[in-house]
Amino acid sequence: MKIRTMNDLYAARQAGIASLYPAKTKFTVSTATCGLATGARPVLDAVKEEARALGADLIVSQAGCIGFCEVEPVVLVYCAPGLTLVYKEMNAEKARELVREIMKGNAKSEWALCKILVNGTTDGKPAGPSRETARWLELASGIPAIEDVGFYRKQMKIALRNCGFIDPNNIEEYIARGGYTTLHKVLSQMPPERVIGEIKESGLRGRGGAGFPTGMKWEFCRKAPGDEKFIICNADEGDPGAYMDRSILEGDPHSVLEGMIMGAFAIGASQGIIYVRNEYPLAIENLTTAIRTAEARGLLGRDILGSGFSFAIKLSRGAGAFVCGEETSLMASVEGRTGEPRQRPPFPAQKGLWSKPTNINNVETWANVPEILARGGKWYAGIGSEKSKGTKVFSVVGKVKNTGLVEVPMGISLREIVFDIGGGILDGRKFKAVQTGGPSGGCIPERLLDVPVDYEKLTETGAIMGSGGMIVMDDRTCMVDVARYFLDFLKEESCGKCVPCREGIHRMLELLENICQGKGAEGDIELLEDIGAAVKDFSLCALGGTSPNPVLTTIKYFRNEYEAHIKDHKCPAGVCRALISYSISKEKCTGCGACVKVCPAEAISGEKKKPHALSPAKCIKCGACEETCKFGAVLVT
Amino acid sequence: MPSLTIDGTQATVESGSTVLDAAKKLGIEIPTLCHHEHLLPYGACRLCTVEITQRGATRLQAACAYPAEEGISVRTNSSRILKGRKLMMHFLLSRCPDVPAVRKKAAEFGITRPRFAPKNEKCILCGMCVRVCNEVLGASAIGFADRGIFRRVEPAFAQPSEACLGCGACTFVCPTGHIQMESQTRDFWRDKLGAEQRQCRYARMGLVAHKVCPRSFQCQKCEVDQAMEETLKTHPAFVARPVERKLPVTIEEFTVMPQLYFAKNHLWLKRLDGKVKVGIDDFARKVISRVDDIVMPSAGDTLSRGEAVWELRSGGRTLSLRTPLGGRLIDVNTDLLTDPSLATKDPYYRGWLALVWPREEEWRETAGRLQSGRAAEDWFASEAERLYHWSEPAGKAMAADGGRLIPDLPGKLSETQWKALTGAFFADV
Repeated sequence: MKIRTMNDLYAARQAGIASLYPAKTKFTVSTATCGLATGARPVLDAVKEEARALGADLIVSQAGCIGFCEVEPVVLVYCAPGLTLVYKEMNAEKARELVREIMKGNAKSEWALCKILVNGTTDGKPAGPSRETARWLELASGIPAIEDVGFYRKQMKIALRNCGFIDPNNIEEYIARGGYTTLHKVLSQMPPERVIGEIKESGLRGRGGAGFPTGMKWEFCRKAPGDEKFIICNADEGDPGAYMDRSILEGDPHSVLEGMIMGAFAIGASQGIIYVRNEYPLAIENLTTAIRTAEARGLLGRDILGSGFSFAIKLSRGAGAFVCGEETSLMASVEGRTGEPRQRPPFPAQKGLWSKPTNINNVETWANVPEILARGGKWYAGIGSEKSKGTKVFSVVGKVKNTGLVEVPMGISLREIVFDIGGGILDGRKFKAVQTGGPSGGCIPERLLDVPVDYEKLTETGAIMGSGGMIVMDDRTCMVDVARYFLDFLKEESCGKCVPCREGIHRMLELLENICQGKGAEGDIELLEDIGAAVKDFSLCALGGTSPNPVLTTIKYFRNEYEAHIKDHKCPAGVCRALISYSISKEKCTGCGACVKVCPAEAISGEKKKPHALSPAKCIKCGACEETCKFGAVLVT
Repeated sequence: MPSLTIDGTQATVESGSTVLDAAKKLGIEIPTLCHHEHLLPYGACRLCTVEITQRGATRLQAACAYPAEEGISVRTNSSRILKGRKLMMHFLLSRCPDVPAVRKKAAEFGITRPRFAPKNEKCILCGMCVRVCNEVLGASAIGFADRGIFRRVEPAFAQPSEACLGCGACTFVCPTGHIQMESQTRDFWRDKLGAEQRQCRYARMGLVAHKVCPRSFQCQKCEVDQAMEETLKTHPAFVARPVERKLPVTIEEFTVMPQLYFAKNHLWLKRLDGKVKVGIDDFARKVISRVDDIVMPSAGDTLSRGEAVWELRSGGRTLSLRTPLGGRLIDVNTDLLTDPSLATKDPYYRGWLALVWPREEEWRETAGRLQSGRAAEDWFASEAERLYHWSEPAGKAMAADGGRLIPDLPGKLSETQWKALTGAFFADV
């Protein structure tokens, strides 16, 4: 049944509301990749089985990720009109009990993360609170509201607006939350120039990391002469520890499709391509379903929404080359050639895919578009800092308490992200640095934690905004080792075409490996700086051009650590094996023998209940004893 | 004709030139290593990096690949540039410390010994061999394998390639002597091919129509080969197809692709590893204007030469096309079934029609009737002439605006006129 008019859309929306906010109790399990990895599948099965066993009249549904990875698997229970209770750290057993308790009318507050109350009776919202809602609110009085949970308090969801709250495979639920309604407005009332005008006014900049103004990019492509134009969605997310795009594609694929249709209309493109890495099987599955459903409902393909505008989207799967996230390599890969960059100009807007004008944006950028056109460029421009507007999604990982996917308004400080949202450092350790932008980014030290999240301000520190990876490091992280880690990643991910990137990364890596092994020499730091500057200047594409950033920023902010490695042959963080030694404190050791059992080299000996001793000659420095010791008696020096 | 400044000197150059071309014109020397005048810009060695200032912003770019645009200002010798170039040279010398060509280049920078741990490689990965094989010969027998520091030049899957012409152009352009003509390919042919099937490398390159090698591919013992090489003073590949042929040529209003063969009924053919790809050429595309529907045979069918197998429909008119080549149809472009307009949107790439596997003698016989290179350009010119002056009255409709095709020709002609037109231009194979 094709949707062609506003009335058709309205009907679909009613169906969506009925499934989003049903009259019955609904259990929704977050089954994005992050949830599945922590055991959401058995939880889902348990909920279904228990419901069947009880003969309970309830609905079981699935959704994407609500962002709080630390507490997965998560189950959302829609228990009364407008009220959703969110339960954390579920397993099959707890899930069964939860179903029983909820059906008995118990809120099970001790397992809850938060409650979400949506008020109102307008379109896209559930029916107003009823007596049932009031009863459940009373039952759930001990559960904090989502706005009061530290992880969510400072967040603002635009790109992630639907993630975790709708079934990604149900187009009607997307429509119920306003989806495709703006598309109707755009196609029926807005000339392409006005669409571009709104995007320009919003100040939206590319969320892939470089931050080029999106509206301007669209305008170049619209004005470029050509009988056929292309739109590309770059979903080749490859930074270690980054999964913003995956979450959007898994949890809300239609927001990306809708954004692309709007962009295609503005630019005059008839064909779109989503380049997604094959390591994202669930994202590919959900995207494929979304494209098929949208086509079946007349929202994609020929004559969209009866407007006469036609646009098709194809998936192109990448084979996991990091460099294919670079736009010219990506296009080469789509064409079936080796994924290698070429010099720009010509820019894709002039000569892109198949030598036709092409506009390429990443997943998060596309997901923002429908919301901007729905609420206006001015609204979006009101959020954020002077030059960076709107919100940005980050995946906060590493040594932080609340790992997860967060969306924050631009201009918020790094400190707020790490400490207020992230909850600070694990195990009460000390914060050392935060790494933004993946292998292209840099490490920002504590004294710069008040720097706002803003394209220019982050670039000033030597790091970059990047696509949103944010790795938090504590005082047990060696910064030389971090730089070494990223270059080790890049030595194989550089395509190898140009000399500075291929050879320069390898030479910097050699130097860093030497330093980590205590073979560093006087002058190595300066040589690293020289190589870094030249690789930045001379590389063909952005992969090479930003590859020295992890090295240069760690030298800039943690030079003393490099010097300690080179001059004193010490690794202050106790990471570089060649430079550390283990010993046992006679005062602290209780002689429990736990370390003796885990030592694979039989390097620890001693009588029971008497301080043990460690033989440095036998020790292989694996660190197993330190991890095992409950008394802090294993010393690393 | 854009005009730009290089190191303070103004230069006006032909459009389509690169910054490197412009510098050469002014006599300003910029070092290069991966640049070759007969190959397309590549930009891998980065030795030619220069500072380019445009609209107030300065960026570092490779001169060999950057277009000489109006109003740009170029600096070739700032200290930042010189320092960076020297480091690039250090990288290269440390990679290949024993290669004479690299040592010589390094000496120009005043570098005599490697600064980093020597890798003792022979290949600098300039890609000239890969590019000459792909761009000039169209054979693509070798390519790059792996990424980053593991990158290397190889035939696909490191197996002797059937696509190799044995022409030796790769060894000719290799600046380091790393690429050596592997006797493997020729041994492979000697074993596999009968004496009468052993095509001379000049025939494989398309320089002569047909010549059988009497010497089991020992070119250095062949008088004809040696005489050719002496006369040409360069590798025959560059004489057969100099680089300007690699770029599409426009004849009247029609785009002619180099390296493609053209049949008399305006189909192009491209040989790929024994198989032949077929599609419509730009002349057919302009005449049919747009395609609404396509009738194609199915993969697996056997085609015989001259058989009418494709029908392109535009409005109420049909263009029926015969196959110029017989053989087994091993693949058809199914994208055309969902989007028939691809045939006219992108006739030379995504709009291909079929992949045919002919027998060797079938191909040889057909190839004699096909046009390629300069001959194809001349033929396009005469076809354009013939079309613009095509017999009354439709000829007038076409030539109305001074000898250009009017859009939507099929819709403007009567059925009889259309039949006559297609009979005159698309019937003969």
